[in-house]
Amino acid sequence: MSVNYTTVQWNRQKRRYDRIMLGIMVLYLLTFTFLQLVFYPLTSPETLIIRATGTLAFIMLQFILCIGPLARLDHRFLPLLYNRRHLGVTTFLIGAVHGVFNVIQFHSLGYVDPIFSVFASNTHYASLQDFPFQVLGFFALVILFLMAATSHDFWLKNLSPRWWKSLHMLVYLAYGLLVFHVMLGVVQLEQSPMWIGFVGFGLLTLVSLHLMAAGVEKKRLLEQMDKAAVGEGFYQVCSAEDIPENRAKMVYLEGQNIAVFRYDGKVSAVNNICRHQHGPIGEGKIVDGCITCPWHGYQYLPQNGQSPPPFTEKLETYDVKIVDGMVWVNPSPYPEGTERPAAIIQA
Amino acid sequence: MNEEFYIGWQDKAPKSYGQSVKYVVWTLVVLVPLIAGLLVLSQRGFIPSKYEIAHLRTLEGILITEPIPCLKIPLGIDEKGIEHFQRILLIGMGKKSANPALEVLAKKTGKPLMGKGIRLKGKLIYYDGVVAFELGSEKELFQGFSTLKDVASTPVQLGKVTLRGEILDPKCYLGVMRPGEGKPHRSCAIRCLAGGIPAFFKAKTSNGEQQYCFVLDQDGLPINDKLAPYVADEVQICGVVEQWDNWYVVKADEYKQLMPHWGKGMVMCK
Repeated sequence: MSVNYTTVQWNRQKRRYDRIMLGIMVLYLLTFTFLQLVFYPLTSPETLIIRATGTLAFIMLQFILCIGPLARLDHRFLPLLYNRRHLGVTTFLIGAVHGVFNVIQFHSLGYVDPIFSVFASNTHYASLQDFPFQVLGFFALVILFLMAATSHDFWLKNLSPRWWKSLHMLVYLAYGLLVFHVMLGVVQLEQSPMWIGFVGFGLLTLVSLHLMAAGVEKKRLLEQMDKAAVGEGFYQVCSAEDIPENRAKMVYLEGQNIAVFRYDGKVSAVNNICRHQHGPIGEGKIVDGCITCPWHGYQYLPQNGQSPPPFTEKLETYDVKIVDGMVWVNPSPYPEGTERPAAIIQA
Repeated sequence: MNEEFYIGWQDKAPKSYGQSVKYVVWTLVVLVPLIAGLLVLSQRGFIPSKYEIAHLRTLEGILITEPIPCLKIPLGIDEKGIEHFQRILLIGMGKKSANPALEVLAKKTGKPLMGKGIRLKGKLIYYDGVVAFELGSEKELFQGFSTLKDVASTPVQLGKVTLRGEILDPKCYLGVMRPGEGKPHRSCAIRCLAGGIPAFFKAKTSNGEQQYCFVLDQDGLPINDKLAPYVADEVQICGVVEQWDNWYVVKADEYKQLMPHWGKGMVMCK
């Protein structure tokens, strides 16, 4: 969290994250280059650069997309999520090297503009097998560029989290475009089962992880729906004892995604969606009296959903009551930052 | 519930989180080189084509500007008194034919160049016995006229054939790019053909060998624009094959895309 915008808010963990990320990238590039020169000394430098950067960018994107569901399935993966922005921007840069070299190699020094040539050389747009795969890579790179360019809290704030998130969800479209880019491009030349298996395994892993994460979420919702009882606009969600101290129970009632926190013998309810990047507030913890989002550590006061001054983020709040040890929540939201009395847990 | 809680902006991650990240990092350290190795080793390799990118040479020969620009290099006279030549394809810089540079040269020297003995500077590109020559810059290209005289040679008619193979641009295939063929190279080859570089055909013979020829229409004129949609596909070409010194030229009267896998959909030409 910060009040003023800075280019990068460095901290010890980010520095370590970036060092490890760069180290693994260099390891890949050196291994690829060394083996390529040993086994295929006839490789031209351009082909080596294009293949090394193209495969690396694809692997990095694959890894980035796995981090989200992995962190939902097991919180111990959260450190991978925290500095994912740097990983994303670096993926774009590696992909851009691949794209620029391709445009120079295959489209420059002719009679037409190289970018125009990307679209106008191969015109088999009606054929799946012969489809101009470079166009797919071009649009994927445009999406990655938009994401990299807006990958800063300045844009998050000014575009609004909703639009920012929607823009960044285009990464799945970019991934889909790149799967076809690879399958209709280099795979048709190499025709090796290894390349097909590589793409297929990655796709399968990604889809499986997302389905598993969605399954866990769905199970949680179903369990809660079975238990929900209703009265006077309130829903019974759980026993107060079911909520661990300084933690939350997440409930989904009448379209409202709500996190019910227990702390200091009290219970309060706030909207479950972090105003920063829509992280699941309810998977967070109360630290120093503040609800702390597990994704990037954004903080809110439980009784009014406001970030502690000087921060300005606010969440909707909800009425909560405790009857016979059971927690009841009214899903009608109060405007963001509205103070609501916490329900007291009787000893 | 694990009481440890990870907050990214704190200096240190809780122990259990740090331990998990360590496992992930070490897994990546093992996995990443392994993936790199598997991807490298699953490539099919590259042909030993050659582009002498840093080596400028001067070639002396008889300049032919149409229909396919080339230098005819005299090889000598055989016992029957027939003079033999090796044709070297001339290509411009980038994805362009040699003709614009030769037209500039003709204007500069004030003489028509067709059939003239000439010395030109440029870079050799070659593979599998086929040689091309990328013309040098305007400044260095012309190295003077020579005393060589053209000897009119009659093409040897080899009859009508049905060929199957891939339409390529000779500049990339013979050495400027590796690989200079296949789907990833399609757009580049189309650009080269659009730039006037002659269409080149890599035909696969029944015994699996490769044979190369240039493709013209029945009247012996370039048909790059008509062939462009078929680049990088498996194509069948029907036409009369002629031998021009060391070159084969097919004068195509029919060409069509074959279905994937060699031979499927192939019907012998009438």
